[in-house]
Amino acid sequence: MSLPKRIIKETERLVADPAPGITAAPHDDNLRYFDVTIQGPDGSPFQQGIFKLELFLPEEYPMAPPKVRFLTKIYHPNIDKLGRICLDILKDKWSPALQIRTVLLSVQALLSAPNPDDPLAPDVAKHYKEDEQGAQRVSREWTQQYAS
Amino acid sequence: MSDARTPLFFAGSDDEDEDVVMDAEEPVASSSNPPSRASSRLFSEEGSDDEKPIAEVANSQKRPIYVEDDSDREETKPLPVKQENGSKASRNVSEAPPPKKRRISSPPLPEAPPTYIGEMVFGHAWSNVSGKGYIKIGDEVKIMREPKEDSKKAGNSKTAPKGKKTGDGKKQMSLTAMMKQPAKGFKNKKTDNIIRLYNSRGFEFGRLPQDASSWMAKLLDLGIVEFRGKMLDCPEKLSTGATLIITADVYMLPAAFKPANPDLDDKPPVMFSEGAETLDEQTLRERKVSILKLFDVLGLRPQAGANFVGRKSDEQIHEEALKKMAARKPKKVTEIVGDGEEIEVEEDGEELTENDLDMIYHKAQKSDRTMGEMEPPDTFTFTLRGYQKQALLWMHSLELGKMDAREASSMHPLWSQYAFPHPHDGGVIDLTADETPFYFNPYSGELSLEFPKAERKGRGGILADEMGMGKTIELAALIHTNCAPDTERPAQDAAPATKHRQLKLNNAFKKLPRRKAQKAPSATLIVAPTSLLSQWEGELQRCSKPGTITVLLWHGQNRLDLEDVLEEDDDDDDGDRTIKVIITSYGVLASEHAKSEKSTSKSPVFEIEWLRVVLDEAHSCKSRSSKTAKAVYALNARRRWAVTGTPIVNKLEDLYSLLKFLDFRPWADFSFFRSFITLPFLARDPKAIEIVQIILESILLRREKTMLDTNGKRIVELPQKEVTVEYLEFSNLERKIYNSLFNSAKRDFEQLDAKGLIGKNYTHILAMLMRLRRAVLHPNLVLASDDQRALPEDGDGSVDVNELIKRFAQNTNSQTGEASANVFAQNALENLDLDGADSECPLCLDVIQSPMVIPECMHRFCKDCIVAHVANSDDSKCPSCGRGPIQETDLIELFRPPTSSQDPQPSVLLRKNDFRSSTKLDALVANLRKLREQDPCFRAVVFSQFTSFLDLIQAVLKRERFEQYRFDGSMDVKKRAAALDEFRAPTRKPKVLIVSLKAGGVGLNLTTANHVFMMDCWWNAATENQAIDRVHRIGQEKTVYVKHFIVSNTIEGRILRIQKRKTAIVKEAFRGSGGGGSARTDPESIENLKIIFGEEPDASSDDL
Repeated sequence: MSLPKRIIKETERLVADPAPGITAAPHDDNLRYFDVTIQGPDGSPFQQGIFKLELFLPEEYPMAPPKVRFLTKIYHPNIDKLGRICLDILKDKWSPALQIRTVLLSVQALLSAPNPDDPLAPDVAKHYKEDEQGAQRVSREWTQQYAS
Repeated sequence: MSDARTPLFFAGSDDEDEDVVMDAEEPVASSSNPPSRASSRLFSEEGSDDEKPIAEVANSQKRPIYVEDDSDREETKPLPVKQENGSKASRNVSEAPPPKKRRISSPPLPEAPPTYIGEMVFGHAWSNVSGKGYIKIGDEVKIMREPKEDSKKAGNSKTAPKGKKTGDGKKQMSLTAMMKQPAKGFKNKKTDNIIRLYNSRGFEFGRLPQDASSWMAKLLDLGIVEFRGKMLDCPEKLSTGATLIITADVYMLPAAFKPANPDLDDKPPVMFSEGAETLDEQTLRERKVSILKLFDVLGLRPQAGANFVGRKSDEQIHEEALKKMAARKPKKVTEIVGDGEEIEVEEDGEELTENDLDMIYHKAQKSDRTMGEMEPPDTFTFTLRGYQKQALLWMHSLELGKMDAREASSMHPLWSQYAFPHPHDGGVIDLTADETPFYFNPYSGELSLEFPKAERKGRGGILADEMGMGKTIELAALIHTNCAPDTERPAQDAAPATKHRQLKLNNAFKKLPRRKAQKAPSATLIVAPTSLLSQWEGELQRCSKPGTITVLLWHGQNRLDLEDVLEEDDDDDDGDRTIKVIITSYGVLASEHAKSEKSTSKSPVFEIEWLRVVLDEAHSCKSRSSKTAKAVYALNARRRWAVTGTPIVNKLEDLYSLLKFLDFRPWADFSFFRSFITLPFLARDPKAIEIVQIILESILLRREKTMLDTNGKRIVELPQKEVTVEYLEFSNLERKIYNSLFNSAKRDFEQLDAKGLIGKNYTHILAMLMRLRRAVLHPNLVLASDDQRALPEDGDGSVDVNELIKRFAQNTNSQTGEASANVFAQNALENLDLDGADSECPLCLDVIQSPMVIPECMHRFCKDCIVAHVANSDDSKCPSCGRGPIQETDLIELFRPPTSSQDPQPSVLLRKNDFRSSTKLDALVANLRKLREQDPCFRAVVFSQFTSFLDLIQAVLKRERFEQYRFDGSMDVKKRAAALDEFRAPTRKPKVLIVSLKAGGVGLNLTTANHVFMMDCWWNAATENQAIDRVHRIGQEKTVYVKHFIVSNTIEGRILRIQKRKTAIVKEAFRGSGGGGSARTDPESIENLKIIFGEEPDASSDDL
């Protein structure tokens, strides 16, 4: 199966001009499957952490959103134990005008701005709501433990 | 049967050399004065319109009867024959002396001496007696059929053991027997073919082996051959079953050279009864087959003329002979036609490959290069090219009945020439005897000593120059050249006229006296397809000096009274008459004919005796039973011309209708044509082709564009033609629609196939195919009619930019929240021209192709990307800003119209996306756009078979601002002419002519264009090529570019595959006309259907 021109273009640009704090490299045997790393944004509990993710471009891409998942354990109200991410652009707000780069930047932004009102991990969200300081501390601990 | 056969002799031997014949026959005629009952019956039976054959028939009839009582008289008969073949006669004379033979034949032998034709050996004859003294080596052996009781009664010459005349005697016997008890005679013949051997004393001592006697018996029974045997080896004492080796000299008896089949002629009464006809046929066939076999065994080969073949599939010998034929064919074929294998290899009987056609025409073209030329009179203002002058001379000669334009000394197609071999023991006589030819007709089994000439009497012919060679002009020149009224042979031109025509002539003369009867016919009637009427009119006017020609278009509702028109002119200017030409269409002619058939009064078209009738695109009436064809046959004309680039479209029978119109005897008789051409061809007999070749040689003129003149130059220099095929891929949606249609059609087909019901449901299947073919062009052509989006309701969907900006301004006021977005939109609109070119589409990340905007936010995408996005879900939003929902029809295309200096337009236009295009349409548009960039005033012609698709093409071209014209069958003559005129008019703008393949595929002259687009493919490539040749014809000065659009993995690829198969389905039924009954269950068609619906074999069809 040939790779759509758009995916090739996106890949080239990701390699040639990577977004700060983000790397994405396709597998040799499957160009739709990317190994991704995101640096925890400064000023967030995830600062200094290097988070591994996987990204897969489905057949329908870009008409359908890419599938993105954290491989590194992370303590975040919008990311569950399995690494799944609750992010509107990965679901109903997906637009074909978005790209891998924009998706990953959005994920990075999500780390800076957790949204406990729309939780995917209810207990983490509860923790964040009730004791943000304590929750952030756990997040930092996890970052140190798993993401460095 | 007899009907069909009679003309055969006529054609072979009639009036052409009447003098000779008459001389030769005189004695015969007188000697046959006291004719037998049989011969007189024959006379009345066969009609008395041709003397010579009858005389001959009478001659042959008479002999058997007179043998009995008057042998002297018999002597006179052979004489005429001898006169023509002096050398043969001398040999006969010299043959007589050998005492042995003399003795044998001594019994009162009325016949002329038989002629030696060869020797054969029987290795396995066997004895049926025991004892000594019957025979010894070197003894003469009489090889005879069993003597019959009645035969002895019939004639003394017959008495079995007496001499070699047995064969002949036998025949007499059977004839007489026939008259008395025909049934019995036949029965005997059929059941027994034992051939007995007698010694010189008349004792039977043995028999010939069955394999030889099976066919020899027929010859002996017919009395046309004699075997003079000699014992080569035998035991001294015979015992039953002992092997005998016998050699025999074979002599052809004069009776063999009598025309006709005595049996057949002899019992006309029987022929009226139903069953007897097959018996006659059988006799004929047996005779033919036996002679063939004999020639084969003797190793006699034709020296010239027809191939030595003639067989019917059911013959026992057939296969064997066929093998032999195959073996020696290459030689023969190169000699005669140059490329004959095709016929044999040819799988499908009826179809002709291009090779076949080339070959068929080849002979007629052989001498054309050196043919003379003729200048047209000065009333004709055009300058003719060399080959056109040749055509003029050829047609002129044919019209005046001169045959010297092209040497026509061919042998009659049904005959072959053989030479009598020297008798092996005839050292005495090899004087001048060597080259005595005789002639054999392997079809009828007839033998003749006279040269059978191929010739014709009708005036006119088939002008079959390739398309675009200027046939119209050639005919116009002829009309100018031979414009004098034909006074030469007033009505009673009995000789060339057939019965059929005579009838009509008579009618004409009954009526005409009322009017100015005796006037010689001087007007020409041209019958052409409706689409070409005005072209004819125009060409005739243009090529004539003003005032020299009167052209009347006899068409439409208000047709003038033809007779009045023709006469009035005569009255006016008697001294200075103008040439009168009436042009009408096949349709008018057919309806007039239908009218006259109903009422008693004939339509004047059929009443008037025309000087000349010209059928343009004469293949229009190729189906002989069509109304058109019947109407055409009913025309009454002195001279007849069939003009067509394709006299044979795909079947030999196509030719028949033309021959019928030309009244080219004997081929104008369908049963004749069928039995001598169609059926042999179906039986893979190359003879059929050869006959056609010879027919064509005398009446057909065909030049091809690639032919060379005497100087080795091409007779027509046409610019190159470049044909390309562009393979297209469906969009997803189209693919889905097509696949679902295809799968359901395939299911249907497989179910029908499984039940064996394909034949019955043929129309249904054809309808499915039609749907598939439409689906390839545009989904709308197959979707239900509630989805009308394909056609915009009004205008070309353009939107005024300023209006749009105004709309946004209003929006800004009312919905303040969205002000910023609209500011962007406004900017975008205002900057449309500036950055449109190289911005990137957010969806494909590529440079935007045919940019399209969402009106609310003015975000811009490629047309394809955004359309795909919108089609993706029901409530699509703008990919860039999420505004929505948006509909496909809301989208606005930024459209850059062609820049043209004369007609300043805004550089960018906005256009609603209310037109649903299709892969094919897009491809066409893309090509035309590119063309426009390269050549701002190109002319292109677009062909499609589907008028509904023509509508869509028109719509899309309108959107693209192409100047376009349409030409299809639904338009009346005026509209068509107007469309063509406008298309041809020179302007500095690109123009596109959209033509329906059916209406415009033939005749039209579109040389102003040099680009052709074929939107769909037709079942046979010939039709497509003919359409292309509208552009690629004389007058074209530029290279012609042809592009076929084919969508991959669709029925189109499979159609191409079928086209490629030599056995293409060009059958009527497959064309969707649903006409021919036989073709429906035709295995070939079903096979082709399987190609359509079958699984793709290994390689995909798109490799084509």
